[in-house]
Amino acid sequence: MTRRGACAVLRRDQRGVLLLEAFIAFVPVMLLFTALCQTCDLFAHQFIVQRAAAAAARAAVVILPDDGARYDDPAQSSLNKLEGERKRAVEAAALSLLGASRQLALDTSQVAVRGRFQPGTRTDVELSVDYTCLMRGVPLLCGRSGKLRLSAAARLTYQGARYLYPERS
Amino acid sequence: MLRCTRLRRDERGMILVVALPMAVILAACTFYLLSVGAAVVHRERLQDAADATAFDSAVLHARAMNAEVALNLLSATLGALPAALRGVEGLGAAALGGDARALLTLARSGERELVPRMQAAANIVRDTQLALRDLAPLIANGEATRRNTAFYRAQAAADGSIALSYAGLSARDQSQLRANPGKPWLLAPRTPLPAKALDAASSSGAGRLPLIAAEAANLPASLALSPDAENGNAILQVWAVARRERFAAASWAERGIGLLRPDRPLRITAKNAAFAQAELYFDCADSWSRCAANAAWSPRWTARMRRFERPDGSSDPARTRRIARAFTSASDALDRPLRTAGHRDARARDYVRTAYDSPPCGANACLH
Repeated sequence: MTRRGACAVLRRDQRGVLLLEAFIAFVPVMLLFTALCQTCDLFAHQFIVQRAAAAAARAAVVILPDDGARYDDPAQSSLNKLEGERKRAVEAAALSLLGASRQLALDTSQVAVRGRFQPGTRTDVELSVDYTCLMRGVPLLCGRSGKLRLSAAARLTYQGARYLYPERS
Repeated sequence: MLRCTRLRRDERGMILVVALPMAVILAACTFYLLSVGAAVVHRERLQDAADATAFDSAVLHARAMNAEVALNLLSATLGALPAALRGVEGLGAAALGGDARALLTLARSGERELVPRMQAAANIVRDTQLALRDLAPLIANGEATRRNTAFYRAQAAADGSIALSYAGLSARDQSQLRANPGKPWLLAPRTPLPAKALDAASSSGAGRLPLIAAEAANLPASLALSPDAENGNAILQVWAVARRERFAAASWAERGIGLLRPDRPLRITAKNAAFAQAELYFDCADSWSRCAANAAWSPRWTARMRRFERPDGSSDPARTRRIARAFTSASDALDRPLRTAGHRDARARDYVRTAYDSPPCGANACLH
């Protein structure tokens, strides 16, 4: 068989076409599939962070106006401030949910509280934390570092009272 | 031989080889998302149930206190009216001199009729106050429990949600409740907490709003605030536990959570109990020593949520210890799954320990 004849046979031969097509399609399909898995994981973690923010807000509205005697502050100097034991308690409320996943770097979590801290007003809590992507080798959604900063906010009514806690020596 | 050759050449089902594992993994991803969502939502709804129950009960307690204040004012008015009438008579006599004899006679006959009626009315007011004092905690706890248990059970979020205020229930009310299980405010009969809590509340000698007969306080009305009660102290607190015997989705949710990452399982345990605390307080922007005088005279009782602290430790241990013990044993049984959940972060573990394991206040700290 001449060379031209061999090429003509090869052109007409349809065996292996599907295999070739599958290989070509494999890369985008796999990318799409990886992206789907990554998005799924990202949504799950965003959900956890959102709920953790709600937990932190729930804690903040009762802890910030609480009696300082319960937070090593009998002089009530940290009342309505996110500092000391009160801060630790609010963060811990968020961490009790964030700790659910090892992909969330707990030591990077930050809680910020804003509000007028008067009865009937709203208290805003913002929570952010570093998230390590599920597919770290594939720079989809997360970039080359494989990390994203997830954040969430929650708002609840302040639960403080106007009465004064007694100072204790 | 021929069969093998045919199989090698056969291209049917090729896509299936790739698509099948992908479909399985995608299904697992969906399952994982659903599981995380179900576990977190369950946990949150249970906390909502406890919060709503505690707050409802505290609000109802506060409303009862405001009603008592209103009745106090009415009682004082009824008590003061005869004196005011006599004052008007005296003034009239002085102003009109001898011409007032006929008018005075008329006024005195009116007074003779009016005063006994006022006294009868004052007695009714006092009886109403006493009844309200005794029944308000029962109704407040029972109504908050009934309302929220019905709602959250309908939402498949909780089996029961139980409010327990320090004011608690009297022995009489308790036996009445047990004799009438069809009463709407009856606490869920198959939960272990209510019976223990009710026993504790009644045996502690509590069971009424913190009001005492005013004679003891030398006041011209029916009831005065108990000297034990003070803004923020244990006597004005309400606790609630929401529980779920079995989280229906727990098994599949936790299986789903561990599905994608069996080496790194998510540790959202579908705990089956949540706790909350609320308090009723007299709204006054000052220290208690200055606010206390108005507490039985001004309808400024209101309610707020507080951080959950187990009702241990107070300057009145004889009264609170029994409630604390019952609450502790019930809550210990309920929150075991939470405490054994194994949070990986030390701070989160501390949080759980602070909220559930250790006495929250030292000696006298809860009752300041």
